[in-house]
Amino acid sequence: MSELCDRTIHELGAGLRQGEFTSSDIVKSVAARITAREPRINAYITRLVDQALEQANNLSRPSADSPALYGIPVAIKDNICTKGVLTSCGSHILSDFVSPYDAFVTERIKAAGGIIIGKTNLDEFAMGASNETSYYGPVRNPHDETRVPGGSSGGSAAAVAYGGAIAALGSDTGGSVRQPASFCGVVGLKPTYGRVSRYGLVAFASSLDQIGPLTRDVTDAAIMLQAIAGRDLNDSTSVDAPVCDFAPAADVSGIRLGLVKECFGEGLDPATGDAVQSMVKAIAPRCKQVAEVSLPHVQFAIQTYYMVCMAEASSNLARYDGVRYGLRVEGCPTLEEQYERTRGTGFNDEVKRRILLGTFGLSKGSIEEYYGTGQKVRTLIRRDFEQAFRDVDVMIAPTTPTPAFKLGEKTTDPLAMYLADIYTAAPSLAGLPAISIPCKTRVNGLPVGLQIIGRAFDEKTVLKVAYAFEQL
Amino acid sequence: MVRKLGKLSRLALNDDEIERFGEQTDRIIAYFQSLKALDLKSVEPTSHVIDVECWCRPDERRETLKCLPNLFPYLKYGYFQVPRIIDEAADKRRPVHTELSDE
Repeated sequence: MSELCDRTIHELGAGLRQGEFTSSDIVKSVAARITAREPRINAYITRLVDQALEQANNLSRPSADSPALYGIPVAIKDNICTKGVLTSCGSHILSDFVSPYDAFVTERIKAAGGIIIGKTNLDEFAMGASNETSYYGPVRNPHDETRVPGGSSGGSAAAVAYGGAIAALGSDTGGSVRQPASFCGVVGLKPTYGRVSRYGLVAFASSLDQIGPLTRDVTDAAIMLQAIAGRDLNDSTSVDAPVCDFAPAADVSGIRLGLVKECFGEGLDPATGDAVQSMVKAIAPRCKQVAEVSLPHVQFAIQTYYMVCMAEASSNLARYDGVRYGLRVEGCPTLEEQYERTRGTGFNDEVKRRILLGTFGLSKGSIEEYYGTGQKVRTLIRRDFEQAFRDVDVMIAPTTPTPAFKLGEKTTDPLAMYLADIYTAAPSLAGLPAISIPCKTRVNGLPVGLQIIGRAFDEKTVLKVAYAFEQL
Repeated sequence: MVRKLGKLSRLALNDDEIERFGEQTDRIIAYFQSLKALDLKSVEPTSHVIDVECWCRPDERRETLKCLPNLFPYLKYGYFQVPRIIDEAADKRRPVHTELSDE
């Protein structure tokens, strides 16, 4: 039998209810793994092991009615507010910011019985695809420590992969849950925009940001989504859509799968493509239909995504001014200089680049040509999906064009880094739910992900298809 | 251009950053240009992917967050502390430029 820290939420829940072990045993197992791996992996910015153990020690044996995460150690990405705990966003500028309140999702995890085991590392302000831009140092991939874990939720993905958490929350703006899930060999779900409240998620690109779980299997992803989904009066973009029972069944006999033609062409590493295709081949006989679909404007997704997200980021990050939240460069003669020097010191290169480009894209004379164009192409990408979903129930694409790349490989070439989101950005622009699950075959010993994209608010079908793939 | 953008976005940049970001932003903006090939004349922009319904939460009394020290670490005598601005000479109050073509 595997160690407790390597098991799933549903396995541990069953064991807890049967009295095979206690929540303290689980926390101790996770804590021991953190101690062993963390010095190399660096998945956590803040570890809350002592508090977690104290909480676990006070728990009694759960009953059949106990909530789904009862006694389970869950990690939370450090751009999600946690009351009384540092919420740094991986940034120098927020390196002293202790949140005075819990995000909606943090409250929900606690209400479901989850124990917060720590706050995970990320690319600064969730801007990146490699987790190399954090003020707290890079995260390493647990499968190969010379490689990146993906980003921006790289700490959450790595922690779940190495047994440093049973499950974790991340945030996904253009692929930041799915891409690290692919690189670390775990499951990562981006729910429909509006499915989960963003209250207490530090804003990066408000029209795209969405919180989602990283887990060991699809059933756990459903459990986590169940815990965090729903309307919240504190987020006017959270939608009052019915929250169904997400628990997946493997019956896909009525499902029509669509393979996104544009995601299997040039730029895709052949071995990664083969790993995805062999999964599709294996599931095809169980489905109603497998067909190719075309999303003609998906080739413009990266440009569109970055135009939109940089503009929104430049606006959202204007609030970090040295007056509020944390870092202030002292001794400036004027308020304006204090703003400039605080922001110049507090942000790293990637955040600065995005603020500069976003400011460019929103400036008078450029706004129509850049932000306006981005918003219009976004419409075309949405329409492509709407059209294709007339013929299929879910769409399949690789999550990433390659397995995890080497640390430092793309740090001097921002454009190459942006292309790591090439298959994940389009569903984000359309606000659609999408999941990354590990393929059965690895590429040079490294995990790669298969992405399943669904209709808006149809996470149920996405999870069902993901579960069927997992059962192959 | 980067120097000007730095000013607009209140980011102090050193010469090395101005040079580096200049090259990188030029390349990225050139990459964005590929969207010019699309005919977008009759396309409506998307600013929200969902139909956002305007609604308000109930206007009820809630517990006040005891959070000022977290959000504003530089408090003095119950006020937010910033560099003196009242007696700044008017010439130090530089206007905010929004036209990139100014420079």
